[in-house]
Amino acid sequence: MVLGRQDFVTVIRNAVAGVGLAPDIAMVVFPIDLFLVESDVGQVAHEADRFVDGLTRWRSAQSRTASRELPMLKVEGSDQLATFSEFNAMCIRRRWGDGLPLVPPTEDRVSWILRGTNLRRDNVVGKFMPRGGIVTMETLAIALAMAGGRPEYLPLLHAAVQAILDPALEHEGWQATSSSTFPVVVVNGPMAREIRLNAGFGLLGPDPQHPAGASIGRAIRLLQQNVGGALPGTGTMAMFGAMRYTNAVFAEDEEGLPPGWEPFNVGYMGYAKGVDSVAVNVASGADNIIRRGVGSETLDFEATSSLVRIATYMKSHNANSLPAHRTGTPGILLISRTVANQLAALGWSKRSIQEYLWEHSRIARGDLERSGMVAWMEHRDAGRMDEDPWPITNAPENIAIVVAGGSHPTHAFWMQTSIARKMTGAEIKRPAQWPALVASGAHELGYDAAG
Amino acid sequence: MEVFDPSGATEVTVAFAKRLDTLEGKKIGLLSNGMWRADQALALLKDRFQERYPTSTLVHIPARERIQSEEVIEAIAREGYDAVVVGNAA
Repeated sequence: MVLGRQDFVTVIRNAVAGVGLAPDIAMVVFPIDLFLVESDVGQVAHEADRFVDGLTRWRSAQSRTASRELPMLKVEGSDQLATFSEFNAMCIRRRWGDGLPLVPPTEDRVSWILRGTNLRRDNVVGKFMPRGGIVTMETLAIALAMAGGRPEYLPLLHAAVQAILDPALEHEGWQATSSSTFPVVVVNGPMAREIRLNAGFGLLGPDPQHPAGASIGRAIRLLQQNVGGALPGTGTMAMFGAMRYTNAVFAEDEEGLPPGWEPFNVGYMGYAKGVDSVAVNVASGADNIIRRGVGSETLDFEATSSLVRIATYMKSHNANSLPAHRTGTPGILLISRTVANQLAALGWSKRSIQEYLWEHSRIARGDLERSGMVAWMEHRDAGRMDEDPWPITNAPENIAIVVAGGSHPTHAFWMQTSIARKMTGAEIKRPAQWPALVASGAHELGYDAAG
Repeated sequence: MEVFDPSGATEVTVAFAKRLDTLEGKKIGLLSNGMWRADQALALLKDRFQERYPTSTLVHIPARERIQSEEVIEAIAREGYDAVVVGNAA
């Protein structure tokens, strides 16, 4: 049985449902005030009888194993628009949406989306925790339909969800946490261009010229909530929300890579060149860093001072990046092709940039003690505890650098990691009918299929 | 129109463990994730249980954040606990 807090009841029920139990575990809960620093936690012992009941007398409302399939739902209105409005009102009542209009997932719509795969619609992808809702290709198609997506986005969504459900990403934790987290999906390979996924100006959206990232990211968010149970305040305790309705789904600007720089999925994730793949991290922040100088500096000074400036953003007392200290990244750094090529022309490699940032983002032990970080570092088994100043990650090569963003020298972008222990990846598989899907998308959305 | 339910099928595959008839003579684990003063709360509960059920064996298991890890679960199975109180889900 479970000792917990009142506000966490649904989180607890989701967690047990996710491991195959019925969602009604014996629990004794208290208001959060009881667990705050220096409060009287003795009341827990005063309620010992309730714990004894939970261990001896409690009975689950569901005593047999069972499976719950879902019937189709009828939606009615006086005309098409009224029916559409009623569908969206139903989504609000049932807590299925994100507060913005959704596309009704009718059989026609979902079947259209399923043209993006050759897998059977009941093919199981996995369970989305903590609630443990079963994700099938049909479930993905429903979410993508509701998010306003297209069939040619389905292979990428499938791969992204595979990477999210990879046990190494431990999604059951960041799905329910009180931190405000969102998945970041970095895409490599030629498919990104074919579906017009953004790698340049406005890549984090909103951008009507590159709708793929928004609808795929929104579909992921709907899966997180509807299937995984991450409803604000009851299923997820994210204090300030997940931040992004569309998460962050974008492509690396592979054409803009300096000579000799490997694509992110090759150098960092270990895929072969040319493979379509996703790499997923979990972030809780986004910082735009003005990196350039005022114009009177030398190019060399601008380069090094910009890296120092970036390092100051990275140099944060982020207890939530500690799980990633040994094998993950403290965050994802985006630099544009302009910046990457400028640095490369001055002799910087990706590795030398990582090393420079690693050294210049170290934090003095005294500061870590004053901020209470040392206790967190011990609690979360951070590495290099004996070093002063302490590096924010165990090794420079842990720092994820992706070339992406508008072709300007002015800014870099830092998305700090939250909770994820390490990045996960998955290859994107194309269905046999891929060329026809891409051509259809290009025609309907009014762009050249070659990009 | 007819629409799909987007919430995904769920399944109950495991039944809850049978409840104990009494805590007397039983081995009870108090499994802590080290968060939100779980160690302190469970320690107080342990003392109260021990007063009330002097023949029971009560063990505080400080698993820290790896509370759901295979190592912790296997260790609990290996040690033969009759029941476990897990905290703190807060």
